[in-house]
Amino acid sequence: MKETEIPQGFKTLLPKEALEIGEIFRIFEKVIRQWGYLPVIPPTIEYLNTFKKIDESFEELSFKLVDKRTGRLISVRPDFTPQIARIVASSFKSEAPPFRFYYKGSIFRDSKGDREFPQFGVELIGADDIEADAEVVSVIVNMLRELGLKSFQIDIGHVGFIDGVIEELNIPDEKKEKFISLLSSKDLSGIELFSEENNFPIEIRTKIEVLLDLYGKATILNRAEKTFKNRKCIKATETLKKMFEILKTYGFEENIIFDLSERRGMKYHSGITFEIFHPMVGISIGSGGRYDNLIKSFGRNLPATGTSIRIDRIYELLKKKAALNIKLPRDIYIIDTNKELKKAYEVAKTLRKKGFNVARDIVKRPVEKSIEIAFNKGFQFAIVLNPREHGNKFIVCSTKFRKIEKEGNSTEETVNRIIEILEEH
Amino acid sequence: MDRDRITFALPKGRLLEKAVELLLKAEIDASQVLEKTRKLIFENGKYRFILVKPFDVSTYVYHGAADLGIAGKDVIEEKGLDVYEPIDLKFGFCRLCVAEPVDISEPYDIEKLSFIKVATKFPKITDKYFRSKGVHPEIIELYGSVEIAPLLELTDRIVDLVQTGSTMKANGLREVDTILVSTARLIVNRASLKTKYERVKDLVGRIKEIYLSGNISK
Repeated sequence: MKETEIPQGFKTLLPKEALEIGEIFRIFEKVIRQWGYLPVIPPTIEYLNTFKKIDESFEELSFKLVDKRTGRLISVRPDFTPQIARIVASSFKSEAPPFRFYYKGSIFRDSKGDREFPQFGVELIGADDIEADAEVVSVIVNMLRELGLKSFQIDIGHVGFIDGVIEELNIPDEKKEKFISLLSSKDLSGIELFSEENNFPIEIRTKIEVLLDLYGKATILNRAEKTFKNRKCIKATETLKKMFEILKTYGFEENIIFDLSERRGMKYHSGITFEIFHPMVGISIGSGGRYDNLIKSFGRNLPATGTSIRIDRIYELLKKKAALNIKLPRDIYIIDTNKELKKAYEVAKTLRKKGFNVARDIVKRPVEKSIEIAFNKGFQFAIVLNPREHGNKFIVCSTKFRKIEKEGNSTEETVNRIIEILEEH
Repeated sequence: MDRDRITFALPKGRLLEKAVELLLKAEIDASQVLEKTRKLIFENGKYRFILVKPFDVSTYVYHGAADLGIAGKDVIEEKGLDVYEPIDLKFGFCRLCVAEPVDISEPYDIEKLSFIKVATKFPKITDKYFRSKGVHPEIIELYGSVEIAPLLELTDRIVDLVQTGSTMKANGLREVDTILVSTARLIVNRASLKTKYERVKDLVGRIKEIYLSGNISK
């Protein structure tokens, strides 16, 4: 193995990428704080059980370790939401809801492809009204618009609707999973085969046919109501209609579509679920939904709803659009040939106070070499203090000009001269 | 991927002609992909067609490099990617079979096997199938000429696609089990269906219509 080899599925972000990803986080944070959400930083590692009790599949997905101190299995977080639920149930036992939290960081999943995913997430806890779900969707729309994105679609479904359908169609328990997976790939012929295998009568087949077509604009909600009239389905469609009305008054209807024919989301989702899509990215850039029974399993009975956004995919999208172009903080590079005088330190300090990014050369080598390196590293200007052949002078240069100037009587004066020269160029 | 243009990923090889024929019925003219050229990307108004290996169709579609694609159920299943698969196009019929030499000393009986050594181009489907039956498979992954593996005693058996069965026969093999029956499918990128909803849904609807009206040769 080479010393520089890294494990599969993990990557390094180099300075430009790191700055740009940081900028996405900064913009999201700015918006979410305006909505009154507060940050939490959950630990990177928790007992495996915290995740597993919510969804067995986390056991398979997690990176697991043995905690030497207790002998119990611990897991590198495969999902933030169970952690937030635990935190609310343990640290906010008696505080009155609602709670509005956001988090940023990576989740880790031991699967093929990427194994670390940067996320930004939002949770609104303690409100069961559909208005809460509408708030989460509004927050997403605002955050994405703040990044300059417009043509994204939020694709909304409802777990309760599919549950109602499964009951109404009398799908046997052991076949539910198969049915749900056929639905989620809209596999018409697979469903036909499934209907044949189960000897479904014609009424059921017709209903399934309608079900498979229940995606699109809000009008599909009416179609859904006409076919699926059981209590669960009606409740789900009514909820979605109400939500759409709210989102319409916010002016977001263009960004909203519905899909009642799929059950997406995690196992812990209990009501509406959604995914966020953009025409320039083939895979969903975020998802979320309501999880009313999750926090209860940690000891406090609170309804909740939330979302998480995949920052890596947002980044990929913004790069394709060339919408992010952050300059590296590379204004001035100071080269000092006589370090004993501490001049460089003082000049750099004063320039930084005035708002410039200033780095010092420090490495011993010929001045011309240092200047060349400064420009190779992307610095705009290089300043040489105490140049050998010019006593009491300094040099300011860029790739386009070079100017030799007399030092001032004080650091302040010298810096002012430097700034004058920078402004001329 | 821009909003107005729809990109189709089409498979090189045996499904291509039928795929073009089908698209033509849906008023999409992709006939230029049949011309003998080295080009892999073709444009026709608001449509773009890319020619890729059958195994790669669902990869292009999953990642959104193509909005729609046509590929056999066999290769879609083998890749196992999350794409929509709304229509069985009915052509390109074949079976993924287990086959063994006609003169094998202990003929295939899945009830009695605890272990099987097979060569295949479809390691994932093969692995899943045998493990679901409680049989431990040792899989040798090959990219072609799978039929010769038993002749050279690389493996006892193979898992491979069968259309007429003549290749099997010519190599002294017989089919003993069917893992999957495959036909060509229309597949759709999830984001495309949601964000280019009107155009893509209309397209899928048009192709579905062709099948409902029975206007297709198998």
